Amino acid sequence: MDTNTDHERFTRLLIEHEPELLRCILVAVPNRSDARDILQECSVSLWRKFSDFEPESPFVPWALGFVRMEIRRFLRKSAHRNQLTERAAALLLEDHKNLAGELDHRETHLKDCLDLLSERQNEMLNGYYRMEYSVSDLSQRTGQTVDAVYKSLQRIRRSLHHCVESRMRGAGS
Amino acid sequence: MKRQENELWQDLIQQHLDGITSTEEVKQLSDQLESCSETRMLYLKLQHLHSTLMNDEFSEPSKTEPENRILKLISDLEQSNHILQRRRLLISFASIAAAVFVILGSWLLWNSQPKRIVEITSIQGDVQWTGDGGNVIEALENGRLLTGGTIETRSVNSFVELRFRDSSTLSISGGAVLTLADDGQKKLYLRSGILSAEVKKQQEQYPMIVVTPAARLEVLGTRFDVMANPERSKISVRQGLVRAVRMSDGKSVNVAGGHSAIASTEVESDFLSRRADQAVQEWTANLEQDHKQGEGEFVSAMVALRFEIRDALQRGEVLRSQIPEVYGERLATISEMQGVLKAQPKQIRHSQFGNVIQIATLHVNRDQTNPVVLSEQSVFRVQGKVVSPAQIHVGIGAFGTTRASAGRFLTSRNVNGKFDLEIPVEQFRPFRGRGDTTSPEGMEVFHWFCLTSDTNAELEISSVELKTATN
Repeated sequence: MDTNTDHERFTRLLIEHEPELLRCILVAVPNRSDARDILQECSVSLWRKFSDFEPESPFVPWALGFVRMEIRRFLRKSAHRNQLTERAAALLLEDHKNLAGELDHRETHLKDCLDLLSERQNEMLNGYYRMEYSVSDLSQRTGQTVDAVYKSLQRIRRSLHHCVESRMRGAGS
Repeated sequence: MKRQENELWQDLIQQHLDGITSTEEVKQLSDQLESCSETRMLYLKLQHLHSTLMNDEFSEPSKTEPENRILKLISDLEQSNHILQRRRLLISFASIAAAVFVILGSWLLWNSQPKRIVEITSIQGDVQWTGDGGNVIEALENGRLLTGGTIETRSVNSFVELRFRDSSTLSISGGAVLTLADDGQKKLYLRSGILSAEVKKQQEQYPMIVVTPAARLEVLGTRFDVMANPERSKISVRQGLVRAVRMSDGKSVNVAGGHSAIASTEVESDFLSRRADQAVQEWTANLEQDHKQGEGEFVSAMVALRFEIRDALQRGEVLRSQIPEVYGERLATISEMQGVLKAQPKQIRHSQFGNVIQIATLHVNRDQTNPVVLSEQSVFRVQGKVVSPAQIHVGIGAFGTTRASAGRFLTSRNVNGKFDLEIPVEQFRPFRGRGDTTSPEGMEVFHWFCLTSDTNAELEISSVELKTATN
């Protein structure tokens, strides 16, 4: 097979599906920086084995096998760093696969629920998740104590979770 | 699952997703996830909420062309760099405010009747004193008597040694900020940097108090070193006993001679005194983790690759249509790379390196209590890159295990393009004291840095390793 064509095909597939792979990693390893590292390791393994990939078969299930392997390796390597056990992570990844359809619905409902938040609540979520401010940074910016910021975040997420749950129940009834 | 129980697990899961659970709590959560499918469902729903709220990078499957996707990632990166710079500026302002608060606090509490409490017995480089009435003094010299206040060693090569009236001595070096007072009881606040102290016997009811962001130490008479940064403090005792209290939870530990302990502001379960004979002699830097709170900017291998492609695009070396091919080709070669640490500019004064340097720093064995001790066979292997011929200076900070105090050691090399250096430890020489041939052998290394005064060199470090030479 032509190597240049391979490079291009691999890159297209990886770039297209990178978000899905990252989301899967985040299930077992919630820290964004760790997740990016795992994806980096995984990209290299995928490239090395790309010649085994059947072009007619779907890329994501094939790639997820490597993702799970890299996650296992990471958890083993960093067992002291407050990570889930390998077994807990494996069970979560298995359940995550089965829950894929439901999660798409939840995402739609979550977008509606986000519209119900106040401007201040949206600013806090934006600061924490998109701008990647730490709770201490947010505390300095808002003039609230670290504890108060953390409790606000907890409240907002709890209300979003309840909102999505009730919409899911409504949609199911 | 009962509602109350559900809410308890919900809290614990949120804490885990935020990265603030203790080892014990993660174990508890893992056990529950292994045994209860309902908790796993709850976890997945909450985790999904988290990841959806995160950056688009995690949430929107890409339907665009790869070249556009890569260019978007580059543009996101540049935007996040601006955010990072703004955040650093805010943190700097907050640090300045905190320093002013500490200084004012010292005056009010300890310095209402200013009296000379210490004498400078040795000084080098850029050192600043803020004392009486807010006076800032930069022209300091040996023999000068100082009141309570804040002393700062402002550059990588600066050092000052102070002596109290009872002949207790302490020294700080390279980027340290220390507030001190003595109203019959010596009180020190080490905001950051390295403090080495030799403390004469203090009255039992008035021990010397050393406060850092992560720990409070009580010292009756001993020789010890403390390294502090906003996240953690490492205490190494050479002789005597130090009682250390961790700020985050009030746990205390007695650290005896030949032992060390690490106190962190993060929630951790271990706060133990460990013997120095559990020392290790090898270390491989994790550039991303070890440079935190230090100088330099870590760029992951994938990000570095994206920047490389952007630069090649700007120079016309790559066409837009070639991006996917080049990206894939380079991706195949980054297997062993862990990213690079880019040196950042820093202004310094009274330095042999000029007024502006480019510097990258690392904490050695940041997450381990086992000390990394240099032997006569120790060799530092340093890999990196400069874009033009430059002289680089590789340095280490080391605690004295048997010697009197901590010190900094340095060696220089001329490099051009990519470099891969092997530097035996015997080639490092003390920063201060020209002609001093003391070697850091036998000392515990806690800090590594690389700098150049050639500001156009674009110094990057890709790997640092301490190994033992095999004959």
